[in-house]
Amino acid sequence: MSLSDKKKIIEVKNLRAGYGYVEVVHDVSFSVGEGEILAILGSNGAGKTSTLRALTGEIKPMGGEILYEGKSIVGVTPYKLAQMGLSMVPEGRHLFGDLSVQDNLLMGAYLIKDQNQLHKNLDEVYKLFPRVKERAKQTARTLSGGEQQMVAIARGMMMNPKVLILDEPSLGLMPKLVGEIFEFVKEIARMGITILIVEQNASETLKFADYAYVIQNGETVISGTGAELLTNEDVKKAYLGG
Amino acid sequence: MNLKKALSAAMIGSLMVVGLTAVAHAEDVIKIGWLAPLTGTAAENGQQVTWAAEMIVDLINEEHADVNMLLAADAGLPNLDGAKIELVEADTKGDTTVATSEARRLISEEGCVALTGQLTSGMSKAISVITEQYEVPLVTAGSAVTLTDGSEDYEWLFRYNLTDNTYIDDSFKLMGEANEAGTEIKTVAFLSEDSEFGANIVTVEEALADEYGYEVVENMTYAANSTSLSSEVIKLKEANPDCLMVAGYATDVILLINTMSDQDWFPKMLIGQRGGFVTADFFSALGEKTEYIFSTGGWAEDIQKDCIQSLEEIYPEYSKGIAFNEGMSKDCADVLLIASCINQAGSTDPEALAEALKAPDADCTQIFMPWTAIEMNEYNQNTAATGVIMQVQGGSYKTVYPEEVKTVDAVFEAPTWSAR
Amino acid sequence: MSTLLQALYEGLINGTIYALIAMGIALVWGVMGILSFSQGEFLMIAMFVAYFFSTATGLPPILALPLCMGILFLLGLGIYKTIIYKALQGPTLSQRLITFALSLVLVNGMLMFFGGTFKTIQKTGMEGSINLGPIVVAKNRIIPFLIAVCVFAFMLWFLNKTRQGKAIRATSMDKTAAEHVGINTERSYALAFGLSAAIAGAAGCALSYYYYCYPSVGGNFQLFGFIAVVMGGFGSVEGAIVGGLIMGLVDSLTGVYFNTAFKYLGVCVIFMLILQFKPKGLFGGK
Repeated sequence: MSLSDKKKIIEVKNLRAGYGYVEVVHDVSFSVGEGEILAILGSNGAGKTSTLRALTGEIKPMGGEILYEGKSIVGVTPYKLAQMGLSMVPEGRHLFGDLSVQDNLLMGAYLIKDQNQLHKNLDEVYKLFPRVKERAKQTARTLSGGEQQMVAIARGMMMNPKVLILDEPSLGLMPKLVGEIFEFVKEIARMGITILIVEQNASETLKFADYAYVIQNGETVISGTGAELLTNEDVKKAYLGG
Repeated sequence: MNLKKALSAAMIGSLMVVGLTAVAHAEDVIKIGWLAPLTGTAAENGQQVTWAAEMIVDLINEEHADVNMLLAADAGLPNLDGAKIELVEADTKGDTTVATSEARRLISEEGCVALTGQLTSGMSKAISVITEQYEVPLVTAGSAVTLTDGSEDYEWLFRYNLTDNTYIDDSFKLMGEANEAGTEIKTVAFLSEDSEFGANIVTVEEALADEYGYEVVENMTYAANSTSLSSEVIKLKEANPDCLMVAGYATDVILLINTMSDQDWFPKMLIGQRGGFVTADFFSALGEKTEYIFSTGGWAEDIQKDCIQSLEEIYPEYSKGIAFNEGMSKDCADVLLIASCINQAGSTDPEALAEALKAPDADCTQIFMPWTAIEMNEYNQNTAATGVIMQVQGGSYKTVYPEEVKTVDAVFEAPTWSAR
Repeated sequence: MSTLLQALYEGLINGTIYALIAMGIALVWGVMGILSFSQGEFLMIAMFVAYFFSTATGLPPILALPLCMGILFLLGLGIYKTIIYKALQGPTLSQRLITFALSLVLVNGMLMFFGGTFKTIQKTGMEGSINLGPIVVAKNRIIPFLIAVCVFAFMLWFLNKTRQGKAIRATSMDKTAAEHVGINTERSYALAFGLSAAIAGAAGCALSYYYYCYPSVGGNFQLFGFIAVVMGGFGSVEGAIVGGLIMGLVDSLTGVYFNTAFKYLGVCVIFMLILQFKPKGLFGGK
């Protein structure tokens, strides 16, 4: 299942996962090369989120392998993955609602103990997301959905991650804002950070993804470069509305 | 249907077996039901009283020629061929509901011929519902006047110990003695727990204060096991009565005295109405702060009677060293009287036993209480019972009232905390 | 005037104890959604520790504070690791009942080992009182007050300013998010439970200055603590402190100016009034 010749940072092989006795993910395999943007697409309930949750240690896989930088991370808890450089921006944002935007960002840098580094990261993130800087003092829960998503991504960047994992960042946002969010994703990718993005919005995502996989009924069914999938008939039919 | 029948047959069968065993045992062992808090807040005290009751039963069952107490000289009950008394202990957990269901069990399942124990007035009323129904005597040392003033129609309730009337009457007479001795006592305040126990006492206190002509400057009730009695003490301090009368159990009495010490206030006289004042905890928890406190009592350790000195010697063997005290004496006296009346009746038949309980012919010199006679009135109250008032002097209670039995003089004006 | 001042003062002092209990309950609820019915028992165990320390060494109970807090912290940690951790995997009802069961075990365990006698420390090194004119300040209430103030200050500092404290706060706000920013939420849970036991430990040490100690002493304080927590807004540590102080003041003032028999009524009326106007409590979510 190798799509590029880049060094693999994440490899998922024949993953099986679910909740209790119910298996949702039956056979998912994919890999992410360093510095790439990899998209995982699929409709609601296809098993995308469960795949991610297995990857980030929130649920225990029932079988298969998950490798990060060549080592198995099966059963590794989310906070340890964060320490290893995997930063997750969860679906639904999960901001610390009572805290200010800036405090949210600082919380994102929980793992950075060096104060100088912390301020450097904050400055960089503010440079990248000027709108977040404008809202620095505002309480997170009072922001609009788009702004909250930006803050969530900005917070995910605060820990100097190697890989940024985005779970449905466009969910519930107006089309104009979706474009804006994806611009940021591209910007982040340009900084050399590997991006794993899970999306329902296939048409927009495929425009900037280096590679993409489509999950259906808990299995990876189609894979290829973003451009290939954009023109793939099956993908078009199922996900691109034509 | 068949299953049901089989089950009921089995149940009837087992009931018959239980019934038969009860009869078979009645020949040589007579069961007296003993209700006391053996777990829960009051467990420690309940256990100590229970040990005392066990001691009395042992003295009855074994030969103790050296102890000048009723039934001690012979083994068992002489009029019933030396039948032994068995104390069937039940844990009330200090809870009236539990006490009631345990009382029912003691009668219907254990076959006890009479019930007694460490019972509050409130509990005694609740248990009476059961004992009246089963027609089994209940002997209580709870002091509420209403138990034996005819206000309730109790036929199977007996009380040999005092009622609040006598205790409180004694208290006002002691204030009179204080005035005669030159300590001016004009105002009183009452502080009582908001329970059956406290409510009964307050009623009597109010009536008697009026009768004896004392001004009541404060009259408060509080909830048991209070987390704080600060506001109570603030009000008392403001009212500053000459004499404070307190009705409460150990926890609150300890907190009250500590709070009074913290706020640096103490009246000329503080008279406790037994309860928490006559427990071992009172001394162990408060130490020197107990000094000068009065308590009414149905018993005092310095009363001169042979059997009292004997019990004071024997009891520590049962109690791991704790001394025999007022609270225990009253409840144990009931055990002794029940046994004595069974012996007098020569049978465990309820009617015969009740007849004996109504007119015990026991020799009072052989009962470890201050009473000189037992005279039961129509409501089954011993009208000849007498009490004492004790004062803590030098770390233990000394009898200071009445004149005839007192061993030391009362100190009528307690010094302030700082002057101690 | 002097009566009012005295009532306010006594109310405040008693309120600090309720506040300490409430704080522990709020912390545990806020972080892991467990109702800590065992807070009163933690208080009780600490009172025993202070009592035995003080009677054995003859030293004032304040010196047992590190011991009380330390032992209770470890006990809390142990209880979390063995009992609470498992309960959290189970259904909600068992999470609700587990600390209740625990409190029964602790009360009866202590009864079994130490009996039900009432123990008070008679030599606290702070006997007597200071007459300040309008009010009498009992010396043995000064140290409990100072202990409480120090614990409040320490906890607020710890939760807001330290890395570990921020981790606990983050965990209580959003466990998923906390985990994703690299916080070991499992450790936050254990630490929060241990800390709440340690706070009750401090309360026990403070209370041992003037209250008697016996196995079921925690019950009433626990109840007041719960009301204070709800008053302050469930899960808010600051709210719990304010709630506790209000409880103490209302308790004292209704006792003095209304009727001592109805002081719990006063507490409950204020409680209902606050919930009427601020259903989520004084410091409850906006």
